Amino acid sequence: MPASELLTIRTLTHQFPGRAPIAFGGMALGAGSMLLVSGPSGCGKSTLLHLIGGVLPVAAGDGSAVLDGRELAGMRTRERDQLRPWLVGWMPQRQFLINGLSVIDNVLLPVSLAVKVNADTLSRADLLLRALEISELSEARPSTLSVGQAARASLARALLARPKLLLADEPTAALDEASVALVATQIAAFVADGGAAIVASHDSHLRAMLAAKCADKFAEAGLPR
Amino acid sequence: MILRLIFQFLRERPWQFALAVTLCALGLASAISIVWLQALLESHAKRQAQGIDIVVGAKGSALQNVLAAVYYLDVPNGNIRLADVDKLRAHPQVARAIPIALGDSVAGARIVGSTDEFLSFYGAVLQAGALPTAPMDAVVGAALAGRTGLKVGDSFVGAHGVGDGATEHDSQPYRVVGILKPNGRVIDQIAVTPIESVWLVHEGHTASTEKEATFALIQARGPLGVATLPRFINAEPGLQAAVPALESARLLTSFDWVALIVKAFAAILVVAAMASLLGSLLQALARREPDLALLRAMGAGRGTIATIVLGESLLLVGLAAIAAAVLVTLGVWGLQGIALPGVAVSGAEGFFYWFAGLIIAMALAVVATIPVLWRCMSIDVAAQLSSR
Repeated sequence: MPASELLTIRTLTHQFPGRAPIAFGGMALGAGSMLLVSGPSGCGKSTLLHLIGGVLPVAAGDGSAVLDGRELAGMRTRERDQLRPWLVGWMPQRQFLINGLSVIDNVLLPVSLAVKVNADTLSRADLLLRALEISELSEARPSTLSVGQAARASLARALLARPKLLLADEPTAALDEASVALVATQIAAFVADGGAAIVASHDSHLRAMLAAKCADKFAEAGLPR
Repeated sequence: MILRLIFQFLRERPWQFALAVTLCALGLASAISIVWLQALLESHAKRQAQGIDIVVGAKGSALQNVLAAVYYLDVPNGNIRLADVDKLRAHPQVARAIPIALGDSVAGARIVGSTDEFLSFYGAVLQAGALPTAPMDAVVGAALAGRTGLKVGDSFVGAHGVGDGATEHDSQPYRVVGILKPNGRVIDQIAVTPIESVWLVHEGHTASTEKEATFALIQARGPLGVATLPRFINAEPGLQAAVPALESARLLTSFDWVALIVKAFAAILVVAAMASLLGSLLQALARREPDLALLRAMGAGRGTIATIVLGESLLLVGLAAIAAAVLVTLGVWGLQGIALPGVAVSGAEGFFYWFAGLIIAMALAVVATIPVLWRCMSIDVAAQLSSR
């Protein structure tokens, strides 16, 4: 693996019980670059992200994927859990926020589950909320947020721990144009700072924005049905 | 953060949470109360007989003599001669022989005629007034005084016998010269008068011209005395020895099955409370699976999820235990005032039963949480993250 490559997938397959196996071709991603994974619904975009992010296990015989020098195939649950949030920042398909916690507590969640939150983390959380224009909502309950605001909070949470790799699963589904622009800008800023991002989306508006903002760091992979 | 998550999850469904705590608290409180009350009554019974090695009464049922002389719960078999009591007192194995004469009652409570030794034997301490010095003087136990409103300077008429059929000795009233402090023993419930009062009231009522007592309470000079005196006493004509410890044990043994049923009932209550806890946790889990999947996606390991679920379960039981402590305290306090006056309630003993109940409930809560933990461990994180 070249020194600059954060993720290298040679071949990868996954089979859900009772369904046909999904096969993913080879791909590589270096630090400071982004990959947009597109394809029709059901083609396996989310599954690919779940396999890379360690949410789904890669069975020992199901190919090879090396993330930051670690082979994902055959990796134990505990090791996969430890990929998040420091190596992998996760933005789920929908705006998963825990309703009992305030927005700021939701944003701090991945770090506070792992370590004691320090001043640096608090200041970064504040910075991210400002950049995503939801700082005035930091004490609000998630149930009071619009879909776009919740998506931005979810992105702030994924980026808080300064992960090496951001996985964003349909980050702009059902968002208004202004929110799409804010999300795209923040992902581009993360990539510009040296982070790697894989975004699964079939939002052409987001694709255009990311392609423009990330320029030569932008790559695209289409998954067949 | 884990603690905050536990509290947030509980706050999200306050009514379900309150219901689970209430059911658990009621189950625990009932179980603790049952076991504690049983122990309380047993220790109360033992305390009443404390220091009385042998009861000497007229020949008849030994158990009846013990019930009448120690607990004032039954009628005596008859009387014994005071001369026999004096003879017993002179026996080298006898440390004390206290004659008591029964016969009359006030407000359903025994008027016990005896010597000053009787009051000192029971550790009676005056709350007001003085000890009786003359016939027809009486000191009244704290519970009896509280119940009847008798106070120093009052007088009362004794009724012959105990119960509804008792006839009153109108011409010879007793004077209340003192009120005793409560001490948790049977003297709280009775009135005590010099033995001469009983003779005076019953002059002409008996055929015997000899001075009589109803019982003698015997304190032996050691275990050897307890072992040998009954045979000596039973050999005397008209006397029967009864050992309260033996008679009480015999009585309690015959009710062993009741104790067993009571304890089984207490166990069922606790298990039912834990079953309701399990139901509540499973119901909560069904709603919370997406949140737990999210926590897993954020990097929370299975151990963290288990800690949250277990913490929630233990917090619930802990709160239920606190509520149960309040319920049990109120219940025992109420019972003490209404149904069990004079029963000495030990707070330390109550705390012991509560703490034992808490530990057992915590252990059962851990067991009840295992199926919930099992389900937590098998949450399909990927499916949850994609499905909402």
